[in-house]
Amino acid sequence: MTTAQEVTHRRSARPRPEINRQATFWWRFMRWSGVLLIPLAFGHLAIVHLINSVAEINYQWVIETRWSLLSWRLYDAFLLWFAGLHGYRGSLTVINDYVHNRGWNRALSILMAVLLVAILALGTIALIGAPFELP
Amino acid sequence: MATLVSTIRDVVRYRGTEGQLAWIGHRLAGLGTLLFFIIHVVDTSFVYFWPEGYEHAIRLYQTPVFFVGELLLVAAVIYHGVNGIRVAVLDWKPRLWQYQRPITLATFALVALLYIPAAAIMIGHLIRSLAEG
Repeated sequence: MTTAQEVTHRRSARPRPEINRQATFWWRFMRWSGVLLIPLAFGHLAIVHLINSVAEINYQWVIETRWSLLSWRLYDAFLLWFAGLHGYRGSLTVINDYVHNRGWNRALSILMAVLLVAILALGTIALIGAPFELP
Repeated sequence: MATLVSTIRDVVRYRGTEGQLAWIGHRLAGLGTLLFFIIHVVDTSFVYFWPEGYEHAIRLYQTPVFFVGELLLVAAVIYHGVNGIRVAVLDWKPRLWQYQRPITLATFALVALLYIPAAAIMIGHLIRSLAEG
């Protein structure tokens, strides 16, 4: 019989950082956003790739079927922001694991932050700005 | 570059069995999904910024090369999602760590269970669209 205390000292995928509050926040964020992304991302794939198909998609389909409803734009906005932040933070974990040179580490981290801001801005502007048309 | 080479060598050398396989798969699937996500937000933003460009991008997605990409993407998202839930649940409940191996194998099984019908449906879509020309 092993106690929870003993178990805690065993090898973990990525132990929760106890001291750095920012690191702890992101550790929690990756797990909660991951749980939230299951319905968001799986739902998105089911709608686009299984119920519909890539062969049926065009500009008209997006405007008249998907983005004619505010709720679908909100859904896409949630997916955009959570996937963006989750992917950004994941990329930093990978960069920190492999890029030990300080300069390169910093350069790549800044590049990912710039990419994140650009992607969130592009996606959000498109979601707000694309014309509303009744189906 | 030397870091990359030694990283790849160490990953191959380290005989971590299914736990290591699950971890490296999670990383590769995450990075692959992130790459497509970035491209996909840019092309979707064309709906607002450049509608003709959007039509062009979608026609590109309808080619056979991108069909292979679509199969890989859906596999990556399903794997990263299901395995990610495994990681989150095991971090949350340390008592489950004694069952790490069966839980990891069950994760692989669940991924296959979700992916096989998904892939079959996508292949069906492809065959239908090819038949219709």
